[in-house]
Amino acid sequence: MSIVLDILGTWRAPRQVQARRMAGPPREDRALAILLAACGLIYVAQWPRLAREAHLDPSIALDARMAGALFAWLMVMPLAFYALSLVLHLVLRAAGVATTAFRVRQAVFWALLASVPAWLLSGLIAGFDGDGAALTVVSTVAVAAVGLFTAAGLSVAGARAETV
Amino acid sequence: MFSELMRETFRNPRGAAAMLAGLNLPGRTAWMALAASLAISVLVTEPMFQLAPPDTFGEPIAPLMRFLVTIPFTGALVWAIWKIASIMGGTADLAQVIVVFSWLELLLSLGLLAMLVLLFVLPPLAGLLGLGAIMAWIWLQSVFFAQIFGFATPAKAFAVVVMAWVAVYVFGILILSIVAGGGQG
Repeated sequence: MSIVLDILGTWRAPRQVQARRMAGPPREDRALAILLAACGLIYVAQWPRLAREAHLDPSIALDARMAGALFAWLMVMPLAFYALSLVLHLVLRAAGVATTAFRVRQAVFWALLASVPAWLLSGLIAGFDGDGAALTVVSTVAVAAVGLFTAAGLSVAGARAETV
Repeated sequence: MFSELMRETFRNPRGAAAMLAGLNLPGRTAWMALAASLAISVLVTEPMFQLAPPDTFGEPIAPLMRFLVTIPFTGALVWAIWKIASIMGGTADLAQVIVVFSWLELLLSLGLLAMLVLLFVLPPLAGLLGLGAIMAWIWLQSVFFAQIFGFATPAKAFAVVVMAWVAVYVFGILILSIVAGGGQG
């Protein structure tokens, strides 16, 4: 339950929630669990869109589309987010920000999980309404949420590293 | 032993992986365990194939044939996991990898069995439970393999598993295309 409350809390006060979640020793297994949960839920968010696309273009069946999305979101995207976090860590280090690779991962992965409500909403809109202004707005909010929550987490991680 | 291992798997996965690796089962026994877990997996998933609408999973295959097809594919997958992990500095031997994979395959089968039951009781939740079982399976694989290979992070083990899947899938397609090409020519 605390995860759900923390997700909602991140939309109100991202820095506080990120700081609380970063307290304690590094737990790589927990970071991976958060990333897989985020990717799994974003995969679920794709279902309505995939159903719509399968209905409009039956040449590719729904189960084939879902299998492709499953592989993409549960196998490829987690690795992509690890790579993204590593790149972000290297950029921050080059810029002189004192933080660790783990804290950057933690910030990015939690930002992704916390932004899931927006991804689910954008998936629903993509399924029921298709492309349009509403989808553009909600998708932009989802991407912006990932960016803002990551920035909040990174500022906390940077502050923590400086105090150590 | 079984209930303790089951409890430890979710409470302390690294401890459970160490427990399995510590069994030091001989290779032949480990392969038998894998075959048994795959047989259970085929039995558990067979009702899903029967219940699914026609053409959902392509041409229907008899359970025995599916078992015989699954054995070499999974064997190759486990070998690829072991080989790739060894190249990346992993220290486990092949028998340990097979034992861990067999245990996780059995757990996945139990998760899918729960999903099958839910399909009759609460159908809308069955799909989500199945997805949850697959996510837990991927996470447990990463943590278990990180432990037995001596990797510091489960992410490295996760990358190994993904690379092994891709390698076996590509190799399988190549073999099938050669066999199919030979059959046509």
